Amino acid sequence: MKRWIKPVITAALAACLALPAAAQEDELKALPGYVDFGSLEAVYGEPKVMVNIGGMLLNFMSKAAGAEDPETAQLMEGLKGVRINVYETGGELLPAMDQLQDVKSMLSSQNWEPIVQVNEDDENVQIFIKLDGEGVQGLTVMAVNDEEAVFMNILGNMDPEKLGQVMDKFDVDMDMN
Amino acid sequence: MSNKESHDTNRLDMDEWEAQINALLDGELDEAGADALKAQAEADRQLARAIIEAYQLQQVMAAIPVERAPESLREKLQRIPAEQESLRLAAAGGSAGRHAARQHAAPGRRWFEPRWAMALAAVPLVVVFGMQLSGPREPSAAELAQARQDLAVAFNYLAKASRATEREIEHTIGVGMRDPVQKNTVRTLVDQLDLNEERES
Repeated sequence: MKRWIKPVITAALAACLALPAAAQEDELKALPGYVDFGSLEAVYGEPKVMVNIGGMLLNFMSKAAGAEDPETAQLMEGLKGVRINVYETGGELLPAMDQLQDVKSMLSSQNWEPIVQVNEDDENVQIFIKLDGEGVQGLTVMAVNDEEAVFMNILGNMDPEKLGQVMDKFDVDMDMN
Repeated sequence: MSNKESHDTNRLDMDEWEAQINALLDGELDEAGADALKAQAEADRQLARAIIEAYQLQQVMAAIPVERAPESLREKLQRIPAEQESLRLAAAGGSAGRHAARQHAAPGRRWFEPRWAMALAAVPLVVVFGMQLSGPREPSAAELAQARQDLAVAFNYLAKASRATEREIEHTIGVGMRDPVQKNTVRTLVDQLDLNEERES
């Protein structure tokens, strides 16, 4: 094949392959339950935990749970995405606390409802929920202490009671500290 | 059709496809052939995948560095097919044969080579297949297992945050009130949902 044709095809193919990933992120951003947490990488380095599960995977997980576990299947069916970034704060709380306050202000201005707030000197936990005429659109959890800063965003329609039940099935260690 | 017959038929299809895919990527497949292959690939993911794999293989092969032969050797090698054809025509005899042989052996270059035009025409075809294959696909068992693990990690942090709020409630209003308060919080949420649903209806 002629040499100049190869780069043209490669570039076109690469552009096409890159489209779905970008499109998926844009799709999540367009949802009312999406929260832009910004980034703390400049302060704490790369997140120690970074989870980004899209609607397609959740949909397949829902189908996989299927008949065996209809409760989990039903919960996951409504979810559109699960995002979580966890940074190690190493005792340096201020930047994470500032970020948390910024996001908190943003959420309040976007009609997110605060559910639980813990405001201690060494620990801050904020849980917000977004409701609209169609039900729950998202859940946001932010928790900062001297070990880590957690920014979590669950997108989609969910029943809080069912969420607790499904968490139990995922062998979640409730005593984890 | 028995399993063996079906297998043999698939084998034949694959062989046929392979020849056509190679011709397509080399720019040697005519327009009608390329269109037919495209139509088949749109309906057959296995064929579409085979085209992409062949293309990727071609890219890998192309990336392997090739040492350029000396100019004189390349000229000699390029002359071989023309000389062989001249000899064949001359052997066929007669003045017409000799004239044809001279014409054939004459150095020259075909400036317009349709194969390159066809290769260029294949670009959108490859792009279309790439887009098809990169679209939604069923995740593998490993991907699903990883996603489940990721979800468990996320739920773990959610549980951790819940635990922190439980401690706060315990600290503020006592253990006895912790569960009723939490249940009320959930109840409030559920009630809000019910209200929203009623408003909708």
